[in-house]
Amino acid sequence: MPGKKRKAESNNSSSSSSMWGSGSSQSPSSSSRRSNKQSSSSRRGGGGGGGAQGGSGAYPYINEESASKLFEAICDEDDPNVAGMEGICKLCEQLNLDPLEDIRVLVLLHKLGAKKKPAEISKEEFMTGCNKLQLDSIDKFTNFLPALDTGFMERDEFKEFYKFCFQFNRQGTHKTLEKDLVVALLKMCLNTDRITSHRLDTFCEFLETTTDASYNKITLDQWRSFLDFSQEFPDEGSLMGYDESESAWPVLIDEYVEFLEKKAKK
Amino acid sequence: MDEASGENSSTTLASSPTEKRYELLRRMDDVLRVTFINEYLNFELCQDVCRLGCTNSTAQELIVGATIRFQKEGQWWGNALSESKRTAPDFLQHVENRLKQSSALTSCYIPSNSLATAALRQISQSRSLTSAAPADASSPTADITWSPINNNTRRIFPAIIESQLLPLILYRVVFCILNISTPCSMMVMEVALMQKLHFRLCELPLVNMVDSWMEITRQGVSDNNSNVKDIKEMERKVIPDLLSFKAHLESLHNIAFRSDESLGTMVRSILEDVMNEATSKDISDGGRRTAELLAKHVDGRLGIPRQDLLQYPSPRSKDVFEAFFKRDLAKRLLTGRSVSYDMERSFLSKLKAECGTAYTSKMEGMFKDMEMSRDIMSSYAAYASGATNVASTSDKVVDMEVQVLTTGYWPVYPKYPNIILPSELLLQRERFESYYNEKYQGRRIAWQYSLGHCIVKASFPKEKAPKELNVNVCQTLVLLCFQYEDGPDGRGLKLDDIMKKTGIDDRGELERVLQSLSLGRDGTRVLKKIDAPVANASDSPKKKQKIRRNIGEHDRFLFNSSFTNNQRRIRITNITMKETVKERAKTHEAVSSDRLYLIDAAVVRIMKARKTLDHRALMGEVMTQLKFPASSSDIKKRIETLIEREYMERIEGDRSKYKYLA
Repeated sequence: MPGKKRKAESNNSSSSSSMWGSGSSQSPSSSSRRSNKQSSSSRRGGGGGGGAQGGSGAYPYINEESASKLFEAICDEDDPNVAGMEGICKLCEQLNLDPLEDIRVLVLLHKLGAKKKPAEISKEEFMTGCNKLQLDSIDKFTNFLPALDTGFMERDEFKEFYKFCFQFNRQGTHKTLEKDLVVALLKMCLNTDRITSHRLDTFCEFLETTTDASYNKITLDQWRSFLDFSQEFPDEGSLMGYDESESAWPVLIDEYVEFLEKKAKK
Repeated sequence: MDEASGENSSTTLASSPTEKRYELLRRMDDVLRVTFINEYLNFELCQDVCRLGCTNSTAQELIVGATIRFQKEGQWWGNALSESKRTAPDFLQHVENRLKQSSALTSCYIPSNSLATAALRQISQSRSLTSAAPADASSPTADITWSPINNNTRRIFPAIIESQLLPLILYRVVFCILNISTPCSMMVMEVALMQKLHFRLCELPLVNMVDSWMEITRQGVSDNNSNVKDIKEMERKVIPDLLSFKAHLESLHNIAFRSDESLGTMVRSILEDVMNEATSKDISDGGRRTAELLAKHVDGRLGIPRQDLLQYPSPRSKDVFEAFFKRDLAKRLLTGRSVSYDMERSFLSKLKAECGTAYTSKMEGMFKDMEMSRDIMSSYAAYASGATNVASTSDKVVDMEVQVLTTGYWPVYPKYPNIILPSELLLQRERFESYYNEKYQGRRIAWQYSLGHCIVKASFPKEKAPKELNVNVCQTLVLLCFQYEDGPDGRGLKLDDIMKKTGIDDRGELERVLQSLSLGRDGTRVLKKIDAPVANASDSPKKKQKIRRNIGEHDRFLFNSSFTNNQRRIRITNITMKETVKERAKTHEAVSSDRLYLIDAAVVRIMKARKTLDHRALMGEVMTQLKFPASSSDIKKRIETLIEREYMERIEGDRSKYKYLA
């Protein structure tokens, strides 16, 4: 049985896995009560940003009732245990965030641990997240906002977050994202100095101009590969070492490199 | 021979060692210059020189001289050949002469091993130099340590000749030989010469030569074929071309090279390359076209007696070949078109030997089915004769022969599940079903009406004797509609009426059947088609006389009472669907989608065994497992979908490795 569990964790794209948070090592969030007490403390200091200094095993108390009320204000009409995009937008309004443009929304959701299903956060996730981040009022949430800059994230943590961006923006049981959404999303989460702007711009251009219908949908593997690729080959000089015939990169990346070469020739 | 010539020329010997050495060099140079050796130096002279220290320096001078000479000679011959002043056989003869001379020369002049060693060292250097820059051959790099080879001294000059004279133009020679259209007479001589040269040839650094040879041959064949655009023409021409090329190359190999194994692999690889690239400029085609053409060709050949099919080369796209071959094999077996059962079987065993048991298992199953059917029919005949007593209520007994085909072995044929059989056939069908179910319990029979054939007896008013019409099941059913009358009102039947009566619900098929019965060539028009008056009056009156080919909703069909034909038995073949376009595309499509699964299966199989594997290693293993050429991006795309479907994943932190997920 332990073996089974491990597989579920490594199964990154599985949307139905119920063990999502139980041991995903990079993420500070966790929905499983059991593992919280044992192991999560060591990870938290680095990633959590503000407001999390107190943790050394167990969390200081928060006002659960107040946090719960916050959730009740945003939960779905037909299911009080879930807050969908509508509710999340309501929360954004309260926090003065633009839910469509501001990357901090996604960072917040990521930190809270909205992992189970795309485009929603469950009450359980919300409460665990509030506990972990020591948030129980709109004021505290607002104060927490500056810590949500993606620039604070370490490489590995950002990688997790980047993956989360893909997962969270999926539709229901779909496993892929529409190309247009991918372009918008890439510009949103990568426009820091995480990767070179040239890489980002040309990749988006490539996606927008390619006529290959199979790239109308982008897979998680392709999404993740782009970040890895951009970090391994930050500039054009490093691309000299890129060998298409031997590379394990997705064909999408191969074709992107080809696109760059053609562009360079022009 | 040495001794005889030694006696003649013991007169002009210089005394001092230096002079002796000079004399030796001069003489040898002379010998090399003239075409035939007519003078041999004294054997003693050589021994003297050797004793006096004719070591490296002498040998080097000698060899450098020879090297340059043969180089020049090679160039001259190259020009002569390309300007057609000389022919390839001339050249081979010349080389042969040179080799004779040189062996005489060496046996005479260079008897000592020390000299041979030095010379060989020199040769080994100049050999490597010649390809890059021939001029450098004169700058010896004697410092290179070279372990002494106890080689036969006779090898020295042949080696120079081979390294200098041959490679420069050998490919031209081979090309000339390959280009000779009538191999017989010319070949014999060349082959004889090649035979003698061959062992030395094999020892040459052949790589360059092989490359150029391959290039030339490939060009030769694909040039011929690239002009062939028309598919039909291609079918006729390409495969015979390839086969004759193959025969040519193989006879060259067998006779001239004594089936030498190292060259054998080369010949095979050349053949394979030519085979698979000749038919298409597009590399990504991967020999699909060839495989298809070959399958068709074999199909054509198997219909002709006494053809040696065992010499057929195997295509690279084995799956395409299989798909087409299987389809045609099924047709041959079912229609009894194949001339020789043995020939089919021997071809199959060749396939089996080449591609493995799994490859041919389905085709063998088809043969087994045919044999089984024969047994079943004979035992059924006994059963039926016993049963007729009981069931002979109907006086219209028809004979029925059944072939029992195992699902899965055979291609999928259209079924007509709603077909309405006449009572006679129905009775037979039921009788067979009850027999079969008794014999083999738990099997289900699905009747393939589209494969059935019937002989229908028909009486025509203008013919005295009844005719036997050989038609398929659908045609039979349509004919039976007209057994007694031309429709209830006697004005013929429309398409819809026939459809209802026969239960053939495939409109296209029914149209084809009607066309075959009413619009075929003369003597097969047992039905008469009456076109419905065209509403569109713009048609010219001229055209009105001609019966339209296509079948309209309101066209009527009648029994053709004025039908005549001299033959007693008339075969009316149904119009087949445009095989070349639709069926072909379908077969290719099926192969393509099968390929995806085959790649998936291979990747999963490998990953399951290895758990984690490096990208390159995985690609390599997949390529070796596949029976068709796949590009690395094809495989990569499949790997990506497998990642997507969670069969495997990339290992975090090491992007070039994959991990298998159970």
